[in-house]
Amino acid sequence: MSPIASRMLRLGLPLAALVVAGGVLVEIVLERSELNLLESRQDAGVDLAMRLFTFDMASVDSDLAAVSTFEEIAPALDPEDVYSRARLARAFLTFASSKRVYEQVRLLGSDGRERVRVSYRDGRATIVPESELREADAHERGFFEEALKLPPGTVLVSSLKLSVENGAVVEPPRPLLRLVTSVTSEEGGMRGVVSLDYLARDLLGNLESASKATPGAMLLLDREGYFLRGRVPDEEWGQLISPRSEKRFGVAFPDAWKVIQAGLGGGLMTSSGSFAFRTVRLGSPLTETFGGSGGQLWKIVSLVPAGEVVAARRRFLGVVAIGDVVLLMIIATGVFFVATQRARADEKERRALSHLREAEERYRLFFERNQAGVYRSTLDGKLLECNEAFLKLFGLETREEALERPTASFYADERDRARIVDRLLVERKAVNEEILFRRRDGSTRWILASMGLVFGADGSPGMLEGVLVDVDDRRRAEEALRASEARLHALLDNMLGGLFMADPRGILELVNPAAEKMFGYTSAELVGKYLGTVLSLPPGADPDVFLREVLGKSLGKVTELEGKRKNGEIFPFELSLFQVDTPEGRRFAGSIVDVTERREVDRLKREFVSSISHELRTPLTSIRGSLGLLAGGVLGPLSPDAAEIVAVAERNVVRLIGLINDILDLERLEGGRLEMEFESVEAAAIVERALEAVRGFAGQSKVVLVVEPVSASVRVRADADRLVQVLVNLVSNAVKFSPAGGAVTVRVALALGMAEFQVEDRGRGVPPALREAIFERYRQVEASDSRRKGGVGLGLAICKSIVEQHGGAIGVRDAAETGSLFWFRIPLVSTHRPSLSGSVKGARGLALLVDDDEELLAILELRLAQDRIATQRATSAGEAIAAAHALKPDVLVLDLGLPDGNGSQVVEALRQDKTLRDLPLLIYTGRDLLQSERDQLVLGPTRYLTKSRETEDEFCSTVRDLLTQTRKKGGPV
Amino acid sequence: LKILIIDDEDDIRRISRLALGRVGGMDVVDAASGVSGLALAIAEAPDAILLDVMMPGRDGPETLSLLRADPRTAHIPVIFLTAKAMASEVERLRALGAAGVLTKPFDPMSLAANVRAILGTG
Repeated sequence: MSPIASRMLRLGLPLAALVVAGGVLVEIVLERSELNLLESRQDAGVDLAMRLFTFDMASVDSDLAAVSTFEEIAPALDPEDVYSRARLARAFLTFASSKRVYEQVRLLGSDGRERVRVSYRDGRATIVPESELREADAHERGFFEEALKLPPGTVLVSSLKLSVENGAVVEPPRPLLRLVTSVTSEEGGMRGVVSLDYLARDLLGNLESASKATPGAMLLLDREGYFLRGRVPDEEWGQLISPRSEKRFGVAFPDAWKVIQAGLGGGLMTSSGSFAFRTVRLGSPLTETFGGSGGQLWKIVSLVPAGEVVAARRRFLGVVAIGDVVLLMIIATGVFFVATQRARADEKERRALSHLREAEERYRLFFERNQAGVYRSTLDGKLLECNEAFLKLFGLETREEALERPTASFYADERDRARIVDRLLVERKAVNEEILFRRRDGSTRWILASMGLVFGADGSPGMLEGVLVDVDDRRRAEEALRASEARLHALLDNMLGGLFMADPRGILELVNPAAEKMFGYTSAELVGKYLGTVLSLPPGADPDVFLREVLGKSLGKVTELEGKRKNGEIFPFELSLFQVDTPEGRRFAGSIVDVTERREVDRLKREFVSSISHELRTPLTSIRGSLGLLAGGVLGPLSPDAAEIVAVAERNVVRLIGLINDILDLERLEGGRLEMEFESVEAAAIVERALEAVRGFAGQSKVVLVVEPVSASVRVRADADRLVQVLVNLVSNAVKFSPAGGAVTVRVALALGMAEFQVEDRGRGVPPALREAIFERYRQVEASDSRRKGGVGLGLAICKSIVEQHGGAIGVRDAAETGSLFWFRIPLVSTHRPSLSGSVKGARGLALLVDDDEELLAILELRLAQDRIATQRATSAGEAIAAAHALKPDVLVLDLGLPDGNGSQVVEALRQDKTLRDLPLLIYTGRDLLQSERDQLVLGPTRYLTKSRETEDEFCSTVRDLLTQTRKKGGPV
Repeated sequence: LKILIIDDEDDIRRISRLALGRVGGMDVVDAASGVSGLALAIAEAPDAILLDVMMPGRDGPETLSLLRADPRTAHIPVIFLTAKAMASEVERLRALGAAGVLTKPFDPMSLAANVRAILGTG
């Protein structure tokens, strides 16, 4: 050994020892730092996973809270209320399609039966038909029954499970979390459960993203240690998939499981590896778990297996061993190498941190983009964090502004916060409540707040977390709606008139108290029933047909009908029917007034008039008799003055008697109690009898009566006495108003199957404005007339009434020269159809054309004649009715605007006649008709044509078509 | 021709007597009620009876059935006098077996002629 070598050795040994000691020291420092880094990254990872998990749960929870406040839920609990169920199903459908994370959205009754179910599968939400709804199975039932016991607003969550179809687990496994909350109907009478099946993809997806930021694997374990998320898919769902029942964390890592099972959070290093874990509650911090509190505590575990930890160590050991040797020669190189290692470690840490930041960014976005306001605060009221939506909700501009304010100041009533915190601490479960909050500008808004406590790692309540959804518009709209409904209800409930609403089939939907009282049923007994229930039908009438006719006839006017009370009593009522269009479609509403009393009063009035008239007759008989005997000279001759005065008295008594007779007649005519006996009468005989009666009077007045000859073949269907009465009245009037020496002409003309009796005078005529009024009661042309000419003017009213009961019409027009012409038309006796179609050989049928446009009539007649269709025309409503009665045409063509009325009056009149009710009808009018107008204008088969729109060919083919319909019904050949 | 008038109204009886007696030249007896009328009808055996419909006690139709029930009066034609001029009322009275129906108020100068017309003795 050379001295240099030994010196080198002497020098080298301590140096080597120094280097080795230094190396060991470096190794210890580096290894410690590497392990610390690993642990802190694992811990940050599980912490993030826990927060994402908790947040997800809060979202689901607030969704359930929102769904359970749908206004359709309460009525849909009623098993009878199909309508509300349908509405709720639509609301569920919208919800499920927009959320896309709920496999099923359901409402179940307290009987465990599904009321409404919407399922979401393959990107599509569908309403499950009623027939496929089922009862909850035994397993579900226990779950629902527990939910029913909880106060409304509390969420109950089931353990995570796999979606099952046809009894088998769906592959790949689709984890589901079922959340339910109980709901009650408004009166609190009925209870039920709203259930969401949450597709827990996101929940597991969040673990996935947290695991990217963390070394090793991220696991989710249930309380038994089964893997909900494992290292490999094969070890997952052991609790549900029996061949994997041994795949449990506790089997793989017994030592670690003991610590993890017992603790709430932390980390540990065992021979198997490095673990970090957190305990999460199933559901959000706002939720109850099935099986009682503390039932479902799950674990999120980050695992770095021992192999990887050791590898990290070994790497360093190797580095140090080589380093020792190399550093003996070049420490600088060693120092440099160490520096390089540090840089690499730094780089690795930076990368890990960036992963962490990315994941946190994801969480932040999730948090920020949530449309609900989300916040966390300390229990004593300091805001810790909040999202953008929260700021918007309160009208705040910056987060700093929010963080400065004590959270109590966000409440409209500051005491609310303390109350809620107290409740949370005592009950330790979610509070879902609509609370009035105050915005920055002082305005207040209703907000649905879901609040709960966030528990720290040691299980003590650390923070308050809240999810806020603005429900102000809905709440205020509801309040406004309630107020408006209350107003309407008060109106309906307190009005004296009855009111009902029915759908187009006649099913009652609403009945007010006055109507309840009238019919003797309660509203509940009537709603859903047929309107016919409360009507008295004519014997043998088909209720459907009758009701349709009633609705058609009563629309837009007042009609009188007979109602039937619950006790069977029949009573008259007045119905004003109108149509309303509601969001649910067309409805009929009717205002009804019981007219029993009015009828009774009418009857008493008629009886009174009748008896007073009879009472008057007895004294009048005496007076008239006495004066008659005096005037007749039976009791000895009278002086000329006395005779004149007695004549005056007698004349006026006779007038008084006439007046009383008129009153009685009119009263009987209007009460429908004046019997008429219709028979075939010669018009000439009527004229003769009438003239006989007035000849004396005319002679006294020095008025000449002229009669134009009347053909003996003209026969009318009439009550002869009544018709004579009418003619006498008209002729007497004409005589009364004729100057002395004047003439009154009587003639009978023929017009459209009617005989027109005419009485023409040379008097001063009737001003056009009064031509209708004079046929009303107690009217004369001038007020002074009644004194000058005598009579109160009941005569023409009686005439009108009699003529109308004959199916005729009465009126007045200007005479050819001066004076007026009074006329009335009475249907001719229709022994056979007059051969009016003579001009058309072998006619297919007869069309009655009603239009006041004579030129158009001429064109149509010509055109129809080419088609071998006989025609007859009428230019007014009155003529049309008379002609239809007389001619019994095969088809009626009707214009609506007629000089003396409306076409609908013609339809109305013909509908009364059994023989004309089914007459084919063509409404041919100048404008398009509304459907509601069309509905009113129906006889038999009915068509509608608009004049300007259709060609004449179209017109003719429609008429031909209608004629074949007559033929089918066995009509005339 | 002897006529019996049965009417509860004194004034009407008085006028009828004049109208039938003075104007028509008939023998007239009268009664104020159905019962006294029946007795008078048996006693006087008139050619016809003019019978008011509305009377207190036995009214016209009842009196008619009493008259018909008695063989001594059963054959005497009865003419009703009524204040109700309705066709249905007239029909009803005819159906009871009256020879005719006259309505009030009547023209006293033609009353006798109307009675004769009904009896077919004009």
